Amino acid sequence: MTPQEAEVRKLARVLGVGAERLEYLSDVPAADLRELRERATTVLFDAHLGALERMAGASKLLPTPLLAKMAERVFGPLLAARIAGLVEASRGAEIAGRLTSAFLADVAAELDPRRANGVIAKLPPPVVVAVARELARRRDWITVARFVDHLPDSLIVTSLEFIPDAALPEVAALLDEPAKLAKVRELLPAERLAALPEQLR
Amino acid sequence: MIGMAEPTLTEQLGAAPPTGVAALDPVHQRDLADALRSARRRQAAALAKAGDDALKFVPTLLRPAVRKAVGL
Repeated sequence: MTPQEAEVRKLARVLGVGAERLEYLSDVPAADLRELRERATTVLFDAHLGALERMAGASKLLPTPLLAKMAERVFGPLLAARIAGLVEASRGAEIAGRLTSAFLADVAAELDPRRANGVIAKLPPPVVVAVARELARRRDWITVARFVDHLPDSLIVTSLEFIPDAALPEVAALLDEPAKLAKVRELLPAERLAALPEQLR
Repeated sequence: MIGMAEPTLTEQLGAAPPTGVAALDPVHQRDLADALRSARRRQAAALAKAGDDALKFVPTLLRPAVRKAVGL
């Protein structure tokens, strides 16, 4: 996968369209595509920010079991992902602990980890394990790579356990931060590192 | 509204797009603008629906306080 192809796939995810629709971007420099994706992400996350902040504020009035039920039945993954970065981190993690791993994987696919890193850092490890397993089952390597970019080392190690060797090159190609590739190499067990294509070792 | 042009990519992003994107054929720039606008509309529709549905889950006694906090 070329850097441009990786960027087109990530932009398509942000815009909610198929990557094939954006084929005309294949000659645009990857750095420009990344900038476009980051700016489009900002536009989407800042749109309706006032209403989302008021919803996050109102959520303080309600018990977490009820909020978890409302997240799955009313808000859905898109809004849950937008609100996740606006609620107090401990409370957000507590709500996440009550959600199904399938729903959390849907939320993870819509989330901007930069905006929700407080909640992510406080997630109970079993929740991270369940979501990583679900994302790997779906082969959602875009989301997996996005989280490897932003997760602390201990959670990267956990997540890597669920990524098959054959998928590691794809995850590596989808990472935003080249420094994280060096970190992944460092965290992989020696036998898995040896199984990687030479250019990734 | 009839006659009102849809916002361009530059208008939606708040400034000119990156150089390599600005150099694209105008048809493709319009397609990117359409995709971004559709994503915003889906989000607005989800928000409007959630606002309508959420109160049904809130215990009756708490509804006035929640309405006030949300600004309804």
